[in-house]
Amino acid sequence: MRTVLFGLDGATYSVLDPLMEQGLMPNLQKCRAAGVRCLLESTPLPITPQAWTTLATGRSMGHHGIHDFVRVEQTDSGVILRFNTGRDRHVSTIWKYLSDCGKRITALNYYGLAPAEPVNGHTMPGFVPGRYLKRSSFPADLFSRLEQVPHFDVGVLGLDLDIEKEGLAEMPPDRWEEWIQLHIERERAWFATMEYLMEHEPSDLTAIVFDGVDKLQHLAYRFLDPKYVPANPTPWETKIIDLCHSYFKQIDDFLGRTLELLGEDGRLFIASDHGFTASDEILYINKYLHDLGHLRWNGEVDVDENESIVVERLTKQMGLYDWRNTRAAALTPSCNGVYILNVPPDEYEAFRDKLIEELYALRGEDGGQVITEVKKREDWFAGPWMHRAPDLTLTLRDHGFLSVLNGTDAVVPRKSPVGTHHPLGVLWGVGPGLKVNATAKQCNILDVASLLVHSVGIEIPAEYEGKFPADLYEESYLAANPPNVSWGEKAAPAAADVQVAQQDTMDSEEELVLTQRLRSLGYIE
Amino acid sequence: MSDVSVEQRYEKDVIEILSELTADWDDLGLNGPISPDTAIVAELGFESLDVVYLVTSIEERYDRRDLPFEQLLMVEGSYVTDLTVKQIAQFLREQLN
Repeated sequence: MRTVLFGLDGATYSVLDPLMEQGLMPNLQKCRAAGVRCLLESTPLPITPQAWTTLATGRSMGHHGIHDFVRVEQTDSGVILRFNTGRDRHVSTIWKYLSDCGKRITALNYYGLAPAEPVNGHTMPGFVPGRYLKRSSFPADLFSRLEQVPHFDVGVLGLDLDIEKEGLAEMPPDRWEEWIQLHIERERAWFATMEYLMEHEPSDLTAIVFDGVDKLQHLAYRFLDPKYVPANPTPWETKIIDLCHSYFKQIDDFLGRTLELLGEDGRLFIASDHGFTASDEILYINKYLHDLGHLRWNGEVDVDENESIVVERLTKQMGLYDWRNTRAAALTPSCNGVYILNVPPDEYEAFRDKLIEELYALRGEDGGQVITEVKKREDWFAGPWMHRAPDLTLTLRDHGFLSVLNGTDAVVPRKSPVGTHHPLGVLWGVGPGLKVNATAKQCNILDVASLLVHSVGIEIPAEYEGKFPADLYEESYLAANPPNVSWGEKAAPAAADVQVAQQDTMDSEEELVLTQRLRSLGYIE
Repeated sequence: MSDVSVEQRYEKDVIEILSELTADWDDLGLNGPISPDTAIVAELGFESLDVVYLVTSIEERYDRRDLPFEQLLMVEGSYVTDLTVKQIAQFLREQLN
């Protein structure tokens, strides 16, 4: 069946429900009445690269290999940050799988599509600068067909890191309007592309991600979640609230038009890669690690005064630390992780256990525990590529991201709350066979790949780690259209049911790769 | 092949890679063609993400994923501020010959 994945990066019911109640998203309201929805649990680190890659592969981070936008590599020359691309993903995507099964796909503004991989259909990657968008899209002549599309503008569609970073720090009030307007225009450009392709070159599965939802919420969450919206807004705040509403009203118009193009015999799923909430403090983790004696700065390092979590230029960050005399450091805010460095293998376990205790012991101004969970790499990211995850991944009490900068104190209250990722996002479904006006049991983002593959009418690959979310469908529909598993060359288990089993085991090749990686990192002799 | 011609071959390769990489740029401020002395940051306006695409293009051209780019991009633990075509070619000659 013709299917659309309408991706809303970072969408949360805490924002969408109040917008529906205010009548600002009538098409979403129709989906509520005509379809089914549930909470969608994100990946252990709820961020774009890991979560959207998991959604598109049905595999966990340890297997697909994408943990963060960048990965840390320890070399003889020092620690180097490398950007992840589609070439660093080590399992197949639903785009490729469905193509190989003879289906046609379109994927737009989706993370991890660059460099372009040949498919039966079209791909235009997200998170790619405009100057590389054409060369990163497939097929090569796609752009020449799209140039006639109204609003199609490479300069608007592409990623501009400088502009995106503005949304992650304290932004001067006079910049907000232009910044939000830019994201309204970007979404319009991406939707115009999808609309054209759905009309003129329709696919069995069309996927698009509107990443402005995430960006807008990082900046303006306090103007979107009623818990934080000011009761008596200033004229400037009123203007910003109206602009935020315009952004979501436009998304709702796109949803309405997509449903129109899809028709009653098509199926639409709305999914987010993670949810959102508010962060009201900053954890300067490297300041804390420094005070504990685990990190040494490289000379005098400025103290952050702008509520920033990241250095202006990533390449400057590597110069912040005295690597030879550092044993633990946070290197990127997005991975919320601590890397252990220069610790001999035979001391590693003891050092890590002590560090975990120290992390749990950190208290905020109110005396409360700031770090609520410390995840060990091998427990949460098991698989041949788990070495790409930091040694420890932290969850903070307000779900905030770590700052890698130096601070006056380890924990500093923010002047105003900002948006941050929450592990629970959204999943909706509308169309034939799906329940109507219903709420289903919570799903995991690992489950969505099987949902999409089944919706298009193809067997679910056995290696998918999630479960088919049967609770979204009417039982009678699934009885007539069961989600069959494709075992490929593997033998099916004797009692294979419709649910794809969690796959914790590694094949011998994966184990060999893992062993080599651990040895190279000094964890095993 | 002599050292000079090997060096020139890699310089030619790097120029081709950079020319192809910047083909869609509408803000390339270079006066004249890319030469061995062209600096990628000062003259081509490279930013950090552009270096990522350059590394990817080099890896694809030589079908190698194991080149130690940190030796090219980092000095004493910090990233270099700029690179010339000649420096990149020299790195490739050292690694690929």
